[in-house]
Amino acid sequence: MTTLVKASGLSKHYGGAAALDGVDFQIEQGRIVGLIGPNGAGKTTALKAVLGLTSFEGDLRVLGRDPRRERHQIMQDVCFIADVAVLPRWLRVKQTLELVQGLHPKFNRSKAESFLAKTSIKPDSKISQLSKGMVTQLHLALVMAIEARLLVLDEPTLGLDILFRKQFYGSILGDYFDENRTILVTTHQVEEIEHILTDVMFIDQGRIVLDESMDSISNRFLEVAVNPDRADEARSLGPVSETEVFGRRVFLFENVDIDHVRPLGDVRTPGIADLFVAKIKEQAA
Amino acid sequence: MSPMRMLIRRELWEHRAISLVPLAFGALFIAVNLLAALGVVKVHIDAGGLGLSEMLQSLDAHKAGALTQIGMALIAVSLNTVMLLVTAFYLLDCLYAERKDRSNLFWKSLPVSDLKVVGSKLLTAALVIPLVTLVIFTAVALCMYAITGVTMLFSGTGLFLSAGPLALAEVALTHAYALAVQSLWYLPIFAWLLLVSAWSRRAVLLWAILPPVAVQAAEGLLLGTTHFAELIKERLIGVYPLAFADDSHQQLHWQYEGEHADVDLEFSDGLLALVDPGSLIGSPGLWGGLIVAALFFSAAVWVRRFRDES
Repeated sequence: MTTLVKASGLSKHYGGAAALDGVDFQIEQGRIVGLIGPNGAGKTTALKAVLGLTSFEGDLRVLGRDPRRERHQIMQDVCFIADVAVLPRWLRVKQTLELVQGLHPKFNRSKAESFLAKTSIKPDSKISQLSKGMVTQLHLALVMAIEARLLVLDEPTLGLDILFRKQFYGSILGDYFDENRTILVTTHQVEEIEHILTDVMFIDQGRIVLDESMDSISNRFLEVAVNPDRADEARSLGPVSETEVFGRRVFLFENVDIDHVRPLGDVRTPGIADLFVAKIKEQAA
Repeated sequence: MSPMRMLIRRELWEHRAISLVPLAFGALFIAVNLLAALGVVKVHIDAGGLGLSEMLQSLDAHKAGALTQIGMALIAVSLNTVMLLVTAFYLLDCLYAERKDRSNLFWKSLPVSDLKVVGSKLLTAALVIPLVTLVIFTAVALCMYAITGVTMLFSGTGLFLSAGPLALAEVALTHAYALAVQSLWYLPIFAWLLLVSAWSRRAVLLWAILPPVAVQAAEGLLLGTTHFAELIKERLIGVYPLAFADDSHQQLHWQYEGEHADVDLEFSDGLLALVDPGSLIGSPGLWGGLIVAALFFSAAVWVRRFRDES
């Protein structure tokens, strides 16, 4: 298995505050990794470090290179969509294609054009005339036509309506992703991407609080909805968290024997968002 | 297409003022020229001569050529002034605008080094904009030559029409030379504007002007001298005396004696005889300027590479 990104002791300080506090992680080829954390947790800083957009301490290798010194070589194999609205507004759609064709050696223009043909975007339109959703489609068309090894998405669907968001991740998964591609994504809308992720990293206050594959999460964590009369029994098993939903107590367990909790109520794999909230609370406690 | 050519095309797409503003001024010159020509023709028809013919009689081919050159040189100088203003605002905007609209993240997602990107902007200012201006100048001068030549033919002399091509060739070549030495001489200014554009968060124009003014003021207060002010003045206007020969033979005399106007020209060797790069190439100002330009340029590349907006 090829390791695309390897960080050890990655730190970044703004003034006195640590945005990243000695973080270790690695990203393997063929994975879709969700980097999840509250605002100000260090997600964007981590992505910027990977993309060579910010200085940092510690060791970080992206495709075997140092993003501080070899940024533009790295960008041959790395694509990113930072935020949907950042394509230059004065460009026309066909100029955009021409430009990327001229500047990116791994761009396949006809691929981008055939993707755009499926949308309502016209080649002569200026980007400033496109809706936010269309700008995302255009950006996606560019990215999908680039033979990149790592795709970094930072809140790519922020401010888009649900149809575009669904379409966006549908295209990524259906037309883009394969075993040679790797995706690193951050988003607030965890529920929308958790079914496509292969791995999650939780980050809080500059530290990684959980780094697991989705498979091991379903082995490691269980969520049990318990009727109130058996809540004390559940509590005695040491849950990570407890919440109330529609009159039932919902407990989250880590590394607990499923046979112990099954009699208490309905058992299922927790959602990433619930797991995230529980983990952050656990850290804060 | 090579990445550098693509990057320069991008600059022309984004900053359309580079060609539109000189074009607009060129069109204005042509329009004024056309109106003046119509006026001359009309006066000619109404008044049957009005002394213009007599004045034209005193001209020979040589004088007509010199006059044509002067007229064209005036257009070149005007367009050059317009071009320098366009260049200054282009340079101030080019790295600032991409940060302001946050499209710099898109540009940075492309595998192009910051050296190349910032280099393409300096190249646009120092080479592409002058070339665009030279082409526009040549087109405008051709139009005005045709208009004026035909008007003068109508007024009784074909001298201007026949003198035009040679005069235009000389002026265009001299203009090309002037643009080249001017770009070299102004490189430190261009690079300074790039640095301000890369670095400033707002009010780029203010940041471009304030530091040199502050240095002048500080020098005046602390040392009571004006070296820096002289240095700036030398940088702004010093290139032309250095790059062109100061030849007292090349003079134009207008003599007015009562009603009788006579044009007396001594333009014996033509404009190209003024071209004299020797003292410019030998001047410390040129080489010192290039070193300063390299420093500012490196700083601009560094700022664009490592500036973290968050």
